Amino acid sequence: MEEDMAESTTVMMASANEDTITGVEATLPSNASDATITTGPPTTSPTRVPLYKIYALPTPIRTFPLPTFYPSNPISLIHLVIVWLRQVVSPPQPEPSTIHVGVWDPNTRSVHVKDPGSISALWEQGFYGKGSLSRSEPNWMKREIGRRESTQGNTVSEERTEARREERRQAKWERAKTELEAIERQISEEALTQVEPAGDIVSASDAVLPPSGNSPAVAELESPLAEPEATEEVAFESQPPVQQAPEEAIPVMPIKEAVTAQLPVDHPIEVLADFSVKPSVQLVIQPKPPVGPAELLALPNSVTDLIRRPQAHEEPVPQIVEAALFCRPIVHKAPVGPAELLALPNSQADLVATSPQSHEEETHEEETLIQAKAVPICRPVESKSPIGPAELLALPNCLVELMSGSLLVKGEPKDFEAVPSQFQEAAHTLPTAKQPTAATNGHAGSKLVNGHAQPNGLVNGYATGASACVHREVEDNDASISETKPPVTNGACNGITSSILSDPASGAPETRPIQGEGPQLLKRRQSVLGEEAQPLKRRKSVRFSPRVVSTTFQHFDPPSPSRSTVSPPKASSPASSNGSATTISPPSPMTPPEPVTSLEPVTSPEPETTPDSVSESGPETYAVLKELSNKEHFQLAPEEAFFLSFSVGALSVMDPVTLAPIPTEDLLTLFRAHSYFPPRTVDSSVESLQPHDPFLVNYAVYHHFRSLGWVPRHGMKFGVDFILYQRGPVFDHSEFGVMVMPSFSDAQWTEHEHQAPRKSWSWLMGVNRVLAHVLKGLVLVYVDIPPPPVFDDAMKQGGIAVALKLYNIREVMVRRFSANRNR
Amino acid sequence: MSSDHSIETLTKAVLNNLENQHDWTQIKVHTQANLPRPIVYGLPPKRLYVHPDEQIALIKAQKDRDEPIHQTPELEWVLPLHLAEKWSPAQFAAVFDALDAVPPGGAAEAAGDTDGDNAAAYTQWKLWRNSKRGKRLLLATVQDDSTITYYIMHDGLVKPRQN
Repeated sequence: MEEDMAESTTVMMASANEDTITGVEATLPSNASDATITTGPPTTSPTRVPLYKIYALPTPIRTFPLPTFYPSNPISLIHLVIVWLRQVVSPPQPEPSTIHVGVWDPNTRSVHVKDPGSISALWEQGFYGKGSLSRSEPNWMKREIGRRESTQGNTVSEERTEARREERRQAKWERAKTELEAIERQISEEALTQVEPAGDIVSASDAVLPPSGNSPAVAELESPLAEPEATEEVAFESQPPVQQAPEEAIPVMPIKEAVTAQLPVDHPIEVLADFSVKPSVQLVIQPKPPVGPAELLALPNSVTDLIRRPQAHEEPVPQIVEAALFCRPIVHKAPVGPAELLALPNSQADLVATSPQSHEEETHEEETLIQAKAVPICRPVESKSPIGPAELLALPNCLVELMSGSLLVKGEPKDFEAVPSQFQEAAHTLPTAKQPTAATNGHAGSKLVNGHAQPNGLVNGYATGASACVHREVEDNDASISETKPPVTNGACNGITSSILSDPASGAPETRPIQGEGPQLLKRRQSVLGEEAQPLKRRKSVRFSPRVVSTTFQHFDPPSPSRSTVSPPKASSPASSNGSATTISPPSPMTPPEPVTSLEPVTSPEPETTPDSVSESGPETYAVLKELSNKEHFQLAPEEAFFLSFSVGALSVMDPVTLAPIPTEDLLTLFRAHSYFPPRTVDSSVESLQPHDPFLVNYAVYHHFRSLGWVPRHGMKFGVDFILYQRGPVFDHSEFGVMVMPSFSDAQWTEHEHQAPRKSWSWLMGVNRVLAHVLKGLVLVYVDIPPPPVFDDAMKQGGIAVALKLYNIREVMVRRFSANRNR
Repeated sequence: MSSDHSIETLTKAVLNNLENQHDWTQIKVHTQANLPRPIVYGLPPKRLYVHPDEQIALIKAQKDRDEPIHQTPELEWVLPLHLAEKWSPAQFAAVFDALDAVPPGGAAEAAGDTDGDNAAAYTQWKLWRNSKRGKRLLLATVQDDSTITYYIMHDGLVKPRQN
């Protein structure tokens, strides 16, 4: 009916103008323009017609089925009667109502379609044909326009695929680079393990060295100690540079040091630090915590030293010097004891000492307090933590002073009686604080971040010493050390010490008020820290360049800045109306289906109806676009063309010279002849065409799948004959790849010469593999070909329509089964 | 002859496709006595093939420099073929024997390899572009629905690229 016709045309129109619906409104018959405006979707937003609406029709043929009759629903009967009567009264036009025109091109052995309306109709109603310069849908023009207006970013699917491929190429390049670096690193590492021709060194080092620089426990290193002992002397003899290490002072493994001497600096080797090694040895030794008691006592400022020290009180200097000698291996233990804290430079004790009024009070010192003004930072002071209440209160800035709100200059035990409550409080808090043992002293349990002090764990309002202490990163921090809280020390100490102890690299931490600190205390602390406070050093900074440039190669970029080989678009003759029509409406590859003759008058009023992308660029682009002609043509493969013309009837193929429609039989002969390369000449005398012409066999398969509803397209991209789409290439990827296998199973074929295809297992494996990579299934389609006499008989009787029935189609789906993979 | 004509049309189809769909430039047709059919050569917009060893040489040479080595495309041979044709390896070998490694006009940049003062790594990657490199061509297979598929074909056994 006319409405149906109108419907079909409007659908085509809608598909053509994806952005606007003005075309649809214009062609709707007998509707007031006001009405159409209200019914149409809002044109403000880019209205994209959904795909299933554009590609709703499966073939270029209309059908007018009677509606279904539902016995339970009486209205369906009424509906059925109405439709039937309408068809009786005004029957629809005999289908196919629109016959598209194509031209046979012997050069490309295919049928070309020029009319844009036909192009869009054939593509949208069944996915026939292909643009000659595109991947499937003819969008060459769209691509060219998108390239010239690069700002819009209107790209076609091929460009997007190319961009994705470029990304993958970059990723693969980076991966190759990373792999090469890894290989080189491995080679250099292996080269270094081959230290010397001396095999024992190698073996010793192999036995001794932990794998790839992990941090082994001490036990690991000590176990092989027994073995290399024998080789110890040998090792030393063979390495003159290490002779400086004196043999007498080697209680622990020297071989480790011998080995480390030759290793590069960055090779993380754990060595038991032996502090008796003379400083002249140029070794890079990563320090280890001296956990053995002997080691601990051997450390400077150990208890033994402390015991000795008060006796040698008048001469602090030589002891310091002596201690300095032992200073090389930098063992940094957090000076958590208050004595240690005060021993540090710029501690409260120092400040007290330096302040004028404290000079007379110097004599009153506790035993446990060490006043060392020139103690180098590298030497941590280890002292017994004062846990006795007297000791605690004797500390500077103790409870007593804080309560009184003023800083006492010296830690004199004053006013003990006045503060019994606090004293009890302090005593009360003692059990909660764990006594750091000699073994574990020095390792604050709290983790510190970036060398900044962070208050952690408050005991009665006072931050514990652990929180404020920074410890240098010791390689193998004993994880077994439990969270220890040194006895209560006041916040001021912590604040100051944190500033001092903090990693010099990171600078002084912020002077945050520690919880519980009085305001006066904080002020004092801040004033103390003022001269040392440095701005927080940020670890990481990210800089963004002011200019954001794409790192992928865009297709429209010149190949290199030096050689720009972009050729200007050729200006073609203005006579090609196809080109001028298609230039005007760029977003849709198909122009509105209007008759060819009316294209010229359409071009003039077109500028105002052009879509936004063109109108924005102005008249210059319009001029450029006008010059740009569509170099692409729409091409139908022979099988498709024959199906459309013979089975459906919606196409008529013209002779290129005479422009007369070619009858079906001649068309068939033409196609059969051109299915060979070079094409076979058809002589009436010599029968050169046979029933197993590639065209006939392929056409049988094509016809078979088309009639079942599949969309078969050529599959040379995937190494197969056809690929089957369930709905179409627009909707999803094809599911199957079809290989056509002619089969000459008829008995009569023995008399006639034929070439049975010889396919090997490797061929089958190859095809299967390729299809598996693109996630398709392999379908082998066996076509039983009638022998020549039978075929000729049938052709004489009824032409190809009869002969085609003789071709039996058998499909076999092949899937690889691997016993260990497919379970 | 019809075969000549069909070969000619085939070549034209490939030329058109290279120029318009794949943006090739400097496309020319090369005929030679011992070639079974005229062969096309041109300049692609990007490099088509990097040998895995050349890639290694490039990465090594690039490590010292700051900016990456710009990979200029090189001229490539293209052999047009129709899907219905069945060629044997002997025919392909004949084509390779007749061809030089680098198409005419492409050897110019490979001529100057005498940078003695540069490091070995620098010149190493350049060796992959001169006339002594392995022969290769692009096999352009034409199907009647206007699809042209291009395959890189080497002369002899070649180390495969990392996938």
